[in-house]
Amino acid sequence: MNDVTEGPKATRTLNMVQAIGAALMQAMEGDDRVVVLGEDVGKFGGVFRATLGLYERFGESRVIDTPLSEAGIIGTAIGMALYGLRPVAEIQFADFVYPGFDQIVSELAKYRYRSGGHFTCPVLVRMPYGGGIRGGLYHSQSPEAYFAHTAGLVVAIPSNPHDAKGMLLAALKHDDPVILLEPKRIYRASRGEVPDAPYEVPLGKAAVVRPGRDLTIVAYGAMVSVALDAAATLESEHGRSAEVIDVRTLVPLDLETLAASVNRTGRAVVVHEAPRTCGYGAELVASLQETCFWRLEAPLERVTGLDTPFPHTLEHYYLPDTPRVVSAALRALTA
Amino acid sequence: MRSAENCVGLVSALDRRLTTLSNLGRIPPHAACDGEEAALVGAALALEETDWVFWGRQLNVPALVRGVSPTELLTGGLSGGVSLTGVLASRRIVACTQGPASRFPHAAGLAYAARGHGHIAFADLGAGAISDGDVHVGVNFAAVLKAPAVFFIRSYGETRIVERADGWGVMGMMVNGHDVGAVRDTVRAARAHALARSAPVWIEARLRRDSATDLALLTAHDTEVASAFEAAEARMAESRLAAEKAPAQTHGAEA
Repeated sequence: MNDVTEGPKATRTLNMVQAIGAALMQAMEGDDRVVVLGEDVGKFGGVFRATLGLYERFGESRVIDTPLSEAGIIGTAIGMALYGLRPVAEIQFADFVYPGFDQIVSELAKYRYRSGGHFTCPVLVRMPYGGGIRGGLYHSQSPEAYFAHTAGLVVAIPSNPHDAKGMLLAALKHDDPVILLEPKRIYRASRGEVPDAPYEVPLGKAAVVRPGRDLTIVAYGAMVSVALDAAATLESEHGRSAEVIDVRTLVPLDLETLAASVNRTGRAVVVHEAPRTCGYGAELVASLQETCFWRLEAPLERVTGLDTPFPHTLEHYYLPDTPRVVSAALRALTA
Repeated sequence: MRSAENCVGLVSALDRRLTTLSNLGRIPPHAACDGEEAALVGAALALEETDWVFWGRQLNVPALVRGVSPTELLTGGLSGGVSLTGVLASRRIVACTQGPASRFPHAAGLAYAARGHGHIAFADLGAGAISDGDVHVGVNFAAVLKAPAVFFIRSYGETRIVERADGWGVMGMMVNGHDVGAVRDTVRAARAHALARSAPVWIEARLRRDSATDLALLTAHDTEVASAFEAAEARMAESRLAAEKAPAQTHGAEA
């Protein structure tokens, strides 16, 4: 049973999937141009149930069960957007996006530039990503760096139900493509108060989710809760105060918020579950080094997934966890 | 509106001028119609101006048919295409995608969104790209989504491409690609079918590699294109002069 409050600022306790579903429902109610398409998003309600109830409410013309082809899902969403619709394309797992990668990188991201600004492609691409569900190598990957590397895309990753709803609604107001990567490991594990009324969490703004003095931990998606656990451990077992920042939007990056923290603490650990080499953490530490070099007290640390395929059975070794983040933090604090 | 034959001759004359400029290094590589003028012009003439056109590299054809002047096209060529983006977009001509067949799913999606509005999405492709997966993806999505799109393939008859329509359960049509009137009539019929049934149509326009074009038709517009080129050169010179005379732009606070 959900906790419910009444009144103009009414909220209810939702998990992330429910928050995403609520956002889609409100977006489709408020704007006839919003359509949802993807594999099993209609009658079935999506494999993670994010689109549950939309088909019954809005019908098959706006909630479209597509053939099994990511290139087709993205490609037709582009055509719909050119005509003025606001398509929400669901890629069932981020691991499946690669057949549609060309449509995202070569077409979706470049329509505005290629047409001298005459055509825009306001397509929202949603995809569950990341490990921690024993999904093996083809249901666990974190491809955010590929998209962050492509000019023309906004790349956003929520870490909690409140942000998931607000970022999705903000993305649907955006006139250019947005890649929304949803950490499926916490689809249901992450619960929190979510306003009933529509609201937006602005894209391009990071959030300080735990203030601290001695060290900055930068994370996004499912790694935010790992960072918060590590901060609590550093406080209780080592007497050190860690600030935790949720990046929320990878592109455009809110470097101002990150740099303000690191300039103050002089030490930072960046955490993500994608492989280390050319992972988004490399961009974060490079940007922080350029911006905060003269205030740094220690080398910037990265805690990441490994440079291997995502493992079938050893994901607990692969994924960053609290002890690894604490170890990196202690290295930074004692350097 | 220009006649079909008039368009074919003009496209050919423009192609020769732009190819020469390209060979001289004055403009980026130019994709000429190379004997496919009749197929391309016939298709463009069959469409209504409200239809959306997803076209390959021979963009002069739909542009001319939709009222862009030879001078504008030559100016566009001399500017590296920059000045043409708005000219084409305002006429619902979506310029070439990176992958030739990448535009097929776009046409399917646009046609789906446009259902009930009385216009279609038209996508053109040379059969050299027929093996690209997006060909199947686009036509299959259009078939499944019941989208009024017309997919137009220029082929050289190595295989009977028209028969692929059966696999998608869509209507297939074949036409002699060197007969501009027949192509126009076929695409018109396809357009009507797509709108009436809210369904895609697959057309194969057959071409011969050794086709000989009427020499009189090829040279009929050389004079017109020559004067359009002079006008384009003058326009470009004026733009350069204006840019040189303009006061230097300063960033930040205004003085």
